[in-house]
Amino acid sequence: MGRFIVRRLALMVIALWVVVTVTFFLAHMIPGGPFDREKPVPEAIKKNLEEKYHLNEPMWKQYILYLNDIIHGDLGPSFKYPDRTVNDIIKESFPVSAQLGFWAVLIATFVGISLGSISALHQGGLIDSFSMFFAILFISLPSFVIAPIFQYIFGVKLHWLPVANWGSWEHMILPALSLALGPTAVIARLTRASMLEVLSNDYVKAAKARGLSGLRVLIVYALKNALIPVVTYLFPLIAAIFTGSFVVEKIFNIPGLGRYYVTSIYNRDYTVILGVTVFYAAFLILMNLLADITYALLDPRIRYE
Amino acid sequence: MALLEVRNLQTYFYTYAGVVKAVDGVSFSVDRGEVLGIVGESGSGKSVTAMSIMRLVQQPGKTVGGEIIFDGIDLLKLSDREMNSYRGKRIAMVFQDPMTSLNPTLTVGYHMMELLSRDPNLKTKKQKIDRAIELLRAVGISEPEKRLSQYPYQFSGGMRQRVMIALAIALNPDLLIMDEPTTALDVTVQAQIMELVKEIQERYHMAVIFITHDLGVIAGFADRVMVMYAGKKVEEGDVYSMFEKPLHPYTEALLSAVPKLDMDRSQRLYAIPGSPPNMIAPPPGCRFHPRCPYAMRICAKKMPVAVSTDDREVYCWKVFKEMGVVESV
Repeated sequence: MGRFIVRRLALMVIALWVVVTVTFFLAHMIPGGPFDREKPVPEAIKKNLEEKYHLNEPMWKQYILYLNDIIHGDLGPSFKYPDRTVNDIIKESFPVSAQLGFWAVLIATFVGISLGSISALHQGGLIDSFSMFFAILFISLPSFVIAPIFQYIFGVKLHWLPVANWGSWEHMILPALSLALGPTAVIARLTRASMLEVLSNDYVKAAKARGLSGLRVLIVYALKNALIPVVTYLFPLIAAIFTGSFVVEKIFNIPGLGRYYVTSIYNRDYTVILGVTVFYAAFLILMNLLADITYALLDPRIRYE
Repeated sequence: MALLEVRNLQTYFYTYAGVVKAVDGVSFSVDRGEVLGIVGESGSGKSVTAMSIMRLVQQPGKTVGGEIIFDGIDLLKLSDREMNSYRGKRIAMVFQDPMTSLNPTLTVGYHMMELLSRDPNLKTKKQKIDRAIELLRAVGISEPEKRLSQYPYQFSGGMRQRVMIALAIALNPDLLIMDEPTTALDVTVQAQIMELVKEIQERYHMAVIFITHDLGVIAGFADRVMVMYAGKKVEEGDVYSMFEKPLHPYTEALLSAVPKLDMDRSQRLYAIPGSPPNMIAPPPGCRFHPRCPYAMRICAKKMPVAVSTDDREVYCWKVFKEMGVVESV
């Protein structure tokens, strides 16, 4: 297992290098540059700026310079926000997105697995039909539809919760729910399908025949074995949700990381584009590694050599 | 009094195509320490009978009638919780496929410890481990100390079935139900497992219900045999007299279908003509009559009544007629 993790981490470096390279050249291929404005900046100033950020250098040299920075953990300065580095931006906004994401993932996992298990146990029953109807509904409804509806009902009409902005825990409820509903629905359906398959196994029947309690059969025999597909979905989801959602953070005016994925591109803010992309890629690769380790914990037949 | 008395058991499956009467009014009993063999083709209701006794028939199946009196108590009247205290402790079951009967993600030791924690005589962990080792040794697993920490996938099929038997006898049940425990195994392993089952049955003097479609397996083991066909009992009796002189045409056909070692190579193995009946719309009258070489007119019209002699019970109009108690119907 130790050797497996080391090898995977080594592969991660290669994967990140590919991500950096592809993103670097793609970003620079977009027409325009970070200092192009509607009203053109005087040539001399623009030239000075480009010199400062090495944008006047040939592309390969810029690439080498960037690689050198990133190896030293420096994601470079932002072109759009001259007083902040990309490291600053991630340091400030990632905790906000991660906090929101944590609650969203917690809700999605807990509610999703519970609903899925209950539905599987009462297949075809009222709870099953009810929760699977809502699962389909929330899989189909994107967050930019759900979020404004929540704002309208719970914020504008009922005054229960703040409509937007960030600060107290009350501010977190609506965006966390908006983020969680889709994944909750997916996890519920995955859990249900997987549970139904496991419950039909002989070893569940045999466990019941040994007189084990219903709860024990459910958790130790059915749920544990049914979780592998859920884990496959859950860990990449953590990476996606923790690094922020453009839509939900925009709608609720939350100072998270999500908006930089979009704004950095139309600002041609090359270093921010690269910074958030590499950050997300690294996070995603780590989560996939965690997923693989979790498989081995759930099922002893899975071993990595 | 018999340890187990099943009276008029009816377990039906409510499918979209119609009601399948998988077990349709079956009665039998098992005494303490007695071995009852249940024989029949696939779909004859053997396994459903066993699952009905355990009360583990799954949707869309349901036991809709009858009584299952175990040690004086009707199991069908117990609450789910009360029934659960019988499972494993008083009545244990071994299933057909040992490859899938153990949880692949738990060690064999976990399976055993989990069950042994219900034994009030075992208080410390040490006692439970010792008992688990003793049980594994009793079913012929070598190096049991090492084996406890291994997972099912590290065991062969025969070894897994030994583990299943160890689990079944762990809480000293009065009745052990074995549902084709050797069917999924190699022939040589089959013989070993049968030896083990016999040895265990004799040592602990348990009552056993042994379900099989292999008459050869049961011949040397069972005290009595019950033959089932299409959800009904067709014949029951002492194992020796039944194999020597089968009365029901179906029993006779089953016995003819057993391959014999002294058979000539040019001889073809006997197969019962036709196929098992459609259980949604079973044939009227005797369910075996469309495949029966002796079928008479009455067989298609009326369900045969029981013909009982001192050691036999047969449901067949031909036997009824031969016994000389014919009335005009």
